[in-house]
Amino acid sequence: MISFAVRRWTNLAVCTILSGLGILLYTLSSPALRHSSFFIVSGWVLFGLLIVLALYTVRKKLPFLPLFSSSQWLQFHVYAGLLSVVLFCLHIDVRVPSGGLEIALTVLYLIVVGSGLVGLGLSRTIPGRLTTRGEQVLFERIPALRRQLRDAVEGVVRRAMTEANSVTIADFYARRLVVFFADPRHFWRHLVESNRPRYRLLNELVVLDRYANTEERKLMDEIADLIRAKDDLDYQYAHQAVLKYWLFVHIPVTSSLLLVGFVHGLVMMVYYYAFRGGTG
Amino acid sequence: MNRPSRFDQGDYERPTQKWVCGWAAEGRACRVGPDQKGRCQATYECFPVRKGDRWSCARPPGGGGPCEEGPLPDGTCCHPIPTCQPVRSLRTRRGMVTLLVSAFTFSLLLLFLAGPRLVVSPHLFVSPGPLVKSHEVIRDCAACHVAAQEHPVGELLAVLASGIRVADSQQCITCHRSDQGLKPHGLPPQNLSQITERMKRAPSPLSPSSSLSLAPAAADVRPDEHGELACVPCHGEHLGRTVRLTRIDNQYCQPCHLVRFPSLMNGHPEFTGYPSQSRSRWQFNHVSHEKEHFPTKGIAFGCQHCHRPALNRRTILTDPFERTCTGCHLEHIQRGSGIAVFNLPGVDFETLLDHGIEIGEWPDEANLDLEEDLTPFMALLLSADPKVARDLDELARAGVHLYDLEKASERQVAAAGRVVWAVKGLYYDLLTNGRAELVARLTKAFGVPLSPRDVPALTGQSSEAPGWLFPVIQPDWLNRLQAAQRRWLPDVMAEVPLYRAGKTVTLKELAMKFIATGDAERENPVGGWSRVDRALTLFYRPAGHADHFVRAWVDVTGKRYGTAGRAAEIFEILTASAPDTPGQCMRCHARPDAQSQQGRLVEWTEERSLPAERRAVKFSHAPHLIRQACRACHALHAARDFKPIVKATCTTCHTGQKMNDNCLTCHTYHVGTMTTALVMK
Repeated sequence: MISFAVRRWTNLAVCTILSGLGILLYTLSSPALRHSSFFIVSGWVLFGLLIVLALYTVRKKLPFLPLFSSSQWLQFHVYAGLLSVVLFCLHIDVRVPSGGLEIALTVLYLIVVGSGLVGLGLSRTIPGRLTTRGEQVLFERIPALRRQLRDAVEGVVRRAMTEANSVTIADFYARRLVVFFADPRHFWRHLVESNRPRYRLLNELVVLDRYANTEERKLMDEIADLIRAKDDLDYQYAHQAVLKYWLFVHIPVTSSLLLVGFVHGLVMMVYYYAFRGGTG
Repeated sequence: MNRPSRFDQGDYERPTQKWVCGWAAEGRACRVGPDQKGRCQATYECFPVRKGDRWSCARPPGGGGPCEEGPLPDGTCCHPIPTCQPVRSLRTRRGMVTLLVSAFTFSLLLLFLAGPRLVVSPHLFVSPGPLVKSHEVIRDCAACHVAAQEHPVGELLAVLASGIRVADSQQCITCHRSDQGLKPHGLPPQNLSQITERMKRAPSPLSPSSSLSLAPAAADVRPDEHGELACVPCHGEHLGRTVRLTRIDNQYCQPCHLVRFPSLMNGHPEFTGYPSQSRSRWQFNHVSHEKEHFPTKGIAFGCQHCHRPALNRRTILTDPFERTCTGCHLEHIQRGSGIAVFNLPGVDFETLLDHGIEIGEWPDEANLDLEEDLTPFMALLLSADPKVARDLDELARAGVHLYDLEKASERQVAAAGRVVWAVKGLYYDLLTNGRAELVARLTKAFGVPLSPRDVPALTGQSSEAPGWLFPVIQPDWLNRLQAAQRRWLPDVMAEVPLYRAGKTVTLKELAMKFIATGDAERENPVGGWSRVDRALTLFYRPAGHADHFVRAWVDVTGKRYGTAGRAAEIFEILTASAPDTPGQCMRCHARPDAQSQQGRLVEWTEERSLPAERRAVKFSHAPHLIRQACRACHALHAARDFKPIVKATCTTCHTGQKMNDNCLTCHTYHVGTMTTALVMK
C-alpha cells in the first residue's frame, strides 16, 4: 500500500518531468516551428488531455465499470489538470491571444482551471470541517432531518402550552424559531465558521429564562438542544452544498471549453494546412 | 439521528435518479417516488394485506410502521399520500445547466462563424496567427483571400475545398509583380520544358530516398491545371511576425523536380565546368600574368591587386582598367597612327582623262604614287547613295582600284569617275550640312535611324555633353575635315555645284605642289582626330581605354553585323587584334559570339544578363571571405586559367551540420523578374 505522501511526491515528480519535457520541446523548437508544428501538436495534445479529464465525470456515472477506482481517477484528474496548465501556457506562447475565439477559449480555460482548483481546495478542507460539527449526514437526507427537528420543536412548544400552561415559549417559537427551523439558515456564516447566529439565538432563549417556570425551563433546555442540532445541520448543509454546487461551474464550462476548443482546433488546422507552406 | 438501524427503516434516497419527490424539500418525501418521466406515483402509504377475513396495515417501519387506524373495510389504506410535483435531482439539474451552456456556446459559435458579416469581423473573432512584419499593414482578410470577400466562413469552406490557393496568390502578385504571373520559377513554360528535356537526357545521379519519396505527399506544391503555382505552399503566412517567408524547407523544392536528392552532400549533381568553362566577359590569362608578366615587371601577383568586394560583399568586382591595366596596356590601345576614317583615295586620273572623264581638282600625290582605297568609313558614307553603292560594288567585284584603272573596262572607268565625284560630293555635303548630313548618310547606310545620343560618339565627341549644345558647337571632326578640304581639295566647294549642274570641271595640277609642302600635322600624341597629309587621311586615334568613338562604332556596326553592307568590315577593323592596330579591344574583352542572332555585341561591362537557369544559382562571397583565401576555391590551372570548382569544395563546410545545405542557400526560385519591393496600389 503506497502512502499518501509517497503517492503525492510520485505524482508531482511525474508531473514535473512531463512539464519539463514540454518546456524543453518548446525551447528547442525554432520560432517558426513554434508557430506551426509545435502549436498544432501541443494544441491537440492539450485537447486530448482535456477530453480525458472530462471523462472523469462520465466514469463517476458508470461506477460498475472496472476502469480503476474513483480515487485513482481523481488523482489523475488533479495532476493531469495541473499538467494541462503548463501545456496551455506553452501552447499560447505565454502571451495574451489576439482573436475573439482564442480569448474566449482562454477565459473558459481559466474558469475551468480556477473552479477546479477551488474544488480541489474545497474537497481538501470541507471533509475535515464536517467532522467537527454535529453528525455527518447524507446531503439528500438533510430536509427530512430538518423536518424531524421542526416536528420535535413543535412538539416541545405544544407541551409547553399544555403542560406548563404558558405561552412564553410559544411566542418565542412563533417570533424566532419558525423561520429558523423552516429552512437552512446562515449559509455564508457557516462557510466562514461563524457561530454568532447560533449564540445569539441561544442567548435570546436564555433571556427568557427569568420569565419561565420550572417546567418551561426544562422544555427550553430541550429547545436549546434542538437549536444546536438544527444549527449543526445547517452547517453540514452549507458545506455539503458547496461541495455539490461548485461542479455547477466546473462541468458546464468544461463542456463549453471542449466545444470551443474543438472549433478552434478545426479552424487552426484549416489555416495550418492552407497557409503553413514551406516556411520554417 | 439520521441513520436507520435497519435497511427498511430509513427513507429511500434516489440521488442518481432524474426525478425526486416534490415533498423531499420539506423533508417528507414519499417512499414511492416519481417515475423515470417525472410523474408522481403516490397513492397510499401502504398496500394492506389480507389475513383471513381481515385487512392488516403493511406500512413499513421506515414509514412509521403499521398505523393505528388500519385499512378501510374495502382493504384500502386509510392514509392516502398527497400527490406532488416531482422535481429534478441535483445531478439532473447540473446536466441541464451543462446542456444549456453548451447550447449557448454552440449558438455563439454559429453566430460568429456563419453570421452576417456585419455581426462579426473575422479579424476580431478568429485569429489565424500573426502576419509577418512586412504584411502587418494588411488589416482585411479579403485583401489576400478572395473567398473572404464573400463571407468569413466562405474562406474556410474554400480552403477546405482546396480552391483558394491560386486565386489568393493572384492577390499576392498585385503587389509583388512578376512578369510570368504564377508560372513556376517565373519562367515561360517553354523555357522550363527545355530545361526538363535536357535534364531527362542527363543521367540521374541518385534514386530518391525514402523520405523524399514522400515529399510530393507532404508538400502540395504541384501546379494547377493552368500550370500555375500558388505562393502559399512555399510561403506560409500567419506563422508569426519574425518568420522568414523566404526560408523554405528542401522538401518543398523536390516534388516538381525530376532528380530528387536529400541534400548537397547526398545526391546533388557534381558541378560541371564552373567557372572555368563559363564564358568570361574578359579574356585575362591569370596564369601567364602570374608566371610571366608580373615577374617581368617585378610586381607581386595577388588577387587583391585587381579585385575587391562590392559594397554588398556578395560579389567580387574587378577594378577598372585605369587602376589595374593602364601601366602595361595603354600603349596597345594607342599604338599606330590611328583609325583611318576620312581620306582621299589614290586616283589614276591619267586613265580617267584618257577616257575623257574630268574629275576637276585632285591632289597630285593621290595619283599612282598613293595606292590607297577608300576607307571603310568613307565607303559606308558613300553607299548611302544607292547609285554610288552600286558603282562601288561593281569595282569591288572586278577587283578594280581607283588608283589603277589601266586594265579597267570603259564601264568600270566611268563608275570610277562617278565614285571620285561622289567622294568630292561627300566632302562638299559634309562641310555644307555638317552633322545633319552625317546622320542622314549613316541612317541610309544602316537602314535604321540612329539614336541622337550615338551621333557624338560616332564622330569622336563625348556623349556627356548636353544635347542642346550639339547643334551649336562646331564639332572637332568637322573642323578637321574642313582643314583637310582646304589643303587637299581647296576648290571643291566651287567644283561640286558645277559638276552637279552638268558642267565640265577640268583637272587642276597646282594643288599638288601645294600639298607637297603642307604635310605639317603628324600623329596626335594624346589621341583624337589627326590629319596626315602625306596619306591624305584623317585618322582617329583612341584617346585611351573605353574610347567613346571606338566603342560607339563597335557597338553600332556590331549590331548590324551581316545586315548592313559595310558594317562588318568596319567592325572587323575595329576589333582586330594585330599588334600594329589601334584599339585592340578584343585583347581583353570577350569576342562576341559569331552565332548570335542579335549581331555581335561586345560585353564591355562586368554586368551581363545570364540565361534563366544560371540566375537560379546564387553565391555570396561575403561569408566566404576568410583571410582572403581566394585560392581555396579559385585555384589556377595552366591550360584552363582556373581549375573547375567541384562540389567537394563546398561540402567541406556545407554539410548540414556545420553549415546550412538548404536548396535556397545556393539557388533562387524566382529566376524571372520578381519585384520583392511592396508596390502599394
